[in-house]
Amino acid sequence: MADIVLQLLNLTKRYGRKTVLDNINLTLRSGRIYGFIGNNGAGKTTLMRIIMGLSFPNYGEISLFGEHGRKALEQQRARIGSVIGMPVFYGNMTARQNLHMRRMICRSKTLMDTEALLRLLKIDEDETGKSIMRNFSSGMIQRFGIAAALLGEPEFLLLDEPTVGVDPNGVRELREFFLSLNQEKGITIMLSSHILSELYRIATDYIFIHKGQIIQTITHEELQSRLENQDSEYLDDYFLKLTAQAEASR
Amino acid sequence: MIRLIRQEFYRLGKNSLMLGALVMVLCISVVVVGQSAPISLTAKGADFADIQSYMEILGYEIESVAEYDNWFQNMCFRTIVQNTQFMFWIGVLLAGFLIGEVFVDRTIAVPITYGYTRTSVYTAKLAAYFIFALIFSFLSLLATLIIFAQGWTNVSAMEIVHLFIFRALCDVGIVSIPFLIVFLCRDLVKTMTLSVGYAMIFTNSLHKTQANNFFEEILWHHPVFYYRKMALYGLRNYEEIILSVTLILAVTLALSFYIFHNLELE
Repeated sequence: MADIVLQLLNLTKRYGRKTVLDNINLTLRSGRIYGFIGNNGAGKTTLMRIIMGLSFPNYGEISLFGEHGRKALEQQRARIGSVIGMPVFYGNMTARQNLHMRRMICRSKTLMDTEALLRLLKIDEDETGKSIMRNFSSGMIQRFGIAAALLGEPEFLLLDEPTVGVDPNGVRELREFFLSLNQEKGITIMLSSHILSELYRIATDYIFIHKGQIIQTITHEELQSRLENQDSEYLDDYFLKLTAQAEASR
Repeated sequence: MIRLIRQEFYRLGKNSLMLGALVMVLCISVVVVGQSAPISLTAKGADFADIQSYMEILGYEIESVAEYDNWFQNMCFRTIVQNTQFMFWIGVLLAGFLIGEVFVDRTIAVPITYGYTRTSVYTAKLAAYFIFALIFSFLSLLATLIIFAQGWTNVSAMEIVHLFIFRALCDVGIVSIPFLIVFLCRDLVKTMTLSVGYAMIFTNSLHKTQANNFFEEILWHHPVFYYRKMALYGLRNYEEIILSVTLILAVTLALSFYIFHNLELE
């Protein structure tokens, strides 16, 4: 049980009559990189928000690092770093000041050095030293979000489309960065992205979600062999076939 | 939770717009409250007979000008301490910038993602809000007294303590409503607009000496009116002020906590 980072049991979320997440059951093991794939509105962000306590499920149970119950979950969230949607920040402060604000409230025993994080994520010195974050490019804001998520040296990273607005070079750098975090520090990562070719390069496992239901969880090796059988080399094709099958069986 | 409150202080220091607006309101309040403080008849050059007849109208018998000066100093001190009108505007600014803004830029969710409970996030906001309000109230009061009070050494220590306690209670009562408004609106512009409306209603009603309709009857139970009645009739309305502030606080805290505890954050 110790290597289970996240477990969701029969998780359901409704907004009025609309079911956004339908009876989700999911187990994430430590040390893996999970590619979380789904169309817009499939429920990826809602699921991540529920995991981080920003939204509440109507039914079901969440367990983080083997702990469950509202109070335990709140404590365990200190072990998670997250970027859900566009990173949030105080626009009238520099990145350095924003990271300082986060440091003030971070409850982790070990904290990463602010300067090291800024260097590591190549957050431009001019922008952090002279400019307030309101003037940052969206790519730089994403980098800041990742830096803020890493501040408390988390064991589990929850990243919702972290490469939105990032240039191609940056996407490659971030991919290598996530890989190094996983391989060198053993951080478990759950990563949603619409750039499936990028996910295919780093994920060890895939979770496919469609209209609020998890339609498949599969390892990278299993996916590779299925792609070979289907005579296809693209994850995009596989995903489209999968959603078409899910639609047909509804 | 201490960390969250410290963070609010850091943010206040870095938010030049909020800080500038608060300092401006503070300076205006010092001038307005100071200018509205009464001027002594001796300063106006009135002779003793005039002063004596004026005091007789108020129900006091005085034997000398020094006695009048003594009474006037106390009255002037009380009048300054009991003028709390500007706290409506401190409430508007704090609710808007301290809390409304974090709903707009979604940073309200940050402590929750770092493993803080909603209760501790709410409590930290609440504590920071009232601490800032009381700090600005105290600074304004101190500056006004230093600049405009015409000597206040004659006021007994006990009365000073009483006045300050009830001033603090009245301040809390006044700024409580914008605190509720911000949790209802969760937006900077809406919060400030509604809070300004609240401030306007009360500051416009303050000159009235009695309630003329049902709406004013309700307003009349706001602590600012009890406190004003205290200024007019002396320290007699302790229970009413405590009851009024407690009721406002209870409703404000219960509603705002319920809203925040069940709020879907982005």
